[in-house]
Amino acid sequence: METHPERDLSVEQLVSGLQKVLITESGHIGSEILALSLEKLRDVEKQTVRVLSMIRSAMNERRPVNRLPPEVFMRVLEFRDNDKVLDVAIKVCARWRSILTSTPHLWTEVDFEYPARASLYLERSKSALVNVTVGKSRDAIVGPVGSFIGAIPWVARMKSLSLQTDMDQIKKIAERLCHKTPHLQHLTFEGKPRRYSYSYYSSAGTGGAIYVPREFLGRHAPLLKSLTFHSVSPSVVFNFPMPNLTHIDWVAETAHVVIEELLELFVSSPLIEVMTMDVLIRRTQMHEPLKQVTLSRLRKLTWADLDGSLSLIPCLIAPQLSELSIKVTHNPRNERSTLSSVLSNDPNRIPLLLEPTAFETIYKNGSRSCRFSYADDNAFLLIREVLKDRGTDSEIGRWFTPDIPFSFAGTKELTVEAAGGCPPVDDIPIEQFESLQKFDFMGETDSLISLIRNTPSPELSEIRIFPKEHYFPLDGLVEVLRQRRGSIFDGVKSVRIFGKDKCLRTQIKDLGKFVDVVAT
Amino acid sequence: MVLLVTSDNKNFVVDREVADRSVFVKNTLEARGLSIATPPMLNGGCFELTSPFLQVLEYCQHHRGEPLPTTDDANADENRKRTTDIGEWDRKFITVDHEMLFEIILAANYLDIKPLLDVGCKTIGNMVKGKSPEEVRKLFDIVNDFTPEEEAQIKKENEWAEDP
Repeated sequence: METHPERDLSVEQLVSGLQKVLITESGHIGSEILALSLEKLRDVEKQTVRVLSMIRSAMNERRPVNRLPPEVFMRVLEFRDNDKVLDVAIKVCARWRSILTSTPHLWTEVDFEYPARASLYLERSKSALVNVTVGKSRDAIVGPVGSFIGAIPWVARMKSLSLQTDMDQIKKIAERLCHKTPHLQHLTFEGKPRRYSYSYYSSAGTGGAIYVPREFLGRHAPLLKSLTFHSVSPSVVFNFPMPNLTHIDWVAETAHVVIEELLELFVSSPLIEVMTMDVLIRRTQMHEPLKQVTLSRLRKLTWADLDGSLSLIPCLIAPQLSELSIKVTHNPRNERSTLSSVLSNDPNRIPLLLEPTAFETIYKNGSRSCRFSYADDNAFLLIREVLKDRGTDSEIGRWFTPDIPFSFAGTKELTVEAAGGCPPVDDIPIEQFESLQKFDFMGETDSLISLIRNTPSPELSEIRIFPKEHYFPLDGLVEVLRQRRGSIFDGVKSVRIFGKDKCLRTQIKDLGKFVDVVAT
Repeated sequence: MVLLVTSDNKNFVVDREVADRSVFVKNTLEARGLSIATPPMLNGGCFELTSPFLQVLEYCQHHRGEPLPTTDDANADENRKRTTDIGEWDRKFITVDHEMLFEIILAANYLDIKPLLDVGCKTIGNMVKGKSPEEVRKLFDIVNDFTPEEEAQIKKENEWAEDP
């Protein structure tokens, strides 16, 4: 016979079971009541915390710093060396956080070498255009190529792209530039040579050619305004017009720049305002005369005297040019360099393309300043020799406007850019330096050491040094500064060294406030 | 010469060249053809001007004759933001207590004297540089007023994207 346990329960067993259920259930009910109280307590606690936050916020609002309106507060944050300030500021208080998170343009420097951080910045920058730098960090989580691949989904939001890494990596990335970047305005290629080797031709050292897909420049990046090539050059120059281009900064040793191509670029980019051409330029069609190009907006031109590069200058007509800088290097192939050819009016010595009348065209239109920089002793001597060849000051004035400081004498502010070697300062009459008050130096340390050691400048009160880090260590410089302190440098109130050299800070410790290192 | 009257009824007679350092005053004078600028007001309230205004005048007098920044030069604006350097005279000038520093900044903002505003902003920026959030709070006498939700969010962000 089939049995059913439930049906077979006795009354006693049933009662006993019910009692157990009741006890269990009453326990639950008790817990629920208790839980309810705890919940309320937690609510109260939450509200208290919230009220406390509000009280604290009200207190913060009364502090002087928080009287600054949001637009001024943002201005403070716009003056920042790096985005670590933002990462700190957003954690300070609710008001700061609120202002920062509602200001997308503050978060537009996106570093894809740190993917999680990049995601955060992309989220905070909302739909604002972003600036992407690849190869910036030494301790990056993702390598340059990987970080560029990470950035690809966001190319449509890129306003600027800067590739700062070694040649191999740049080549790999450049080949991948095949996406449409409708908002890209600034494109930079900055090749870092594995080791520096001095070049006669360019202060950027040896570099290499990179392949930038032909469609990219001009067609895929139609709004491109500035283009920078440092130590690298595109293997094919320009295939498409870049009508919005205003800045070209090209510093590289390369043999791929052809004058005719460059002139075509100038024709198709009439808005160019600032241009640096520190490259080797070749002429391919020697039999045809070069055409003249008018760059009506060009106001600043830096040009290197590299194996015929100067020969292009007569082709340019620049009525707005106000600042001209010519970098002269000693070219081992030509005894006197092309600068002498440009400046000389001896028809037997000048190549035909260096017509002095065309050269004059550039200078006679209000050029207000001109600066020569030199790469080595010979180049420096060359400048002096060439200027001497030109005869009297008034004669030189025919070529340059009269206020061009071709001599240092009486100069209060002097900028010297030396890529290698040092100028023969012993040969310069010391009176030339007597009026010097401010001295900016860019370049290699040995040149500076020589200048400082030999330059008596009683009025000198400020020196700013921009060492090129890959040239030489700064030990010698520190030693010279130490020696000169208290002697001829009595009047110097500050020496500021702009660089990344952390060791330097330790080295100059005993010089106190006299020397300051500014991290760049 | 221009007569400037502050909100606490103090009169200052200054050269036009000095007064014109303030775009606000310059525009006001040009628009009305007046030689008197009315008291600046701040946030709808009376701006206690005399003390910071004296400082502002000192700044304007020192920098008189210098070229004024153009508002339409985008490149100049970009370059301006890149540097946190402050000139020697400006650095000494702006070495004041916090209260006065913020008053000067507010005055420069109101009177539209951008170079002075920038000096003030750079000074604050340089004060914050290299400090932790707690150190910044201490510096400006502010307290952590984040809600628990905001704290949780910050913690989460820290886990995601700890500074390299």
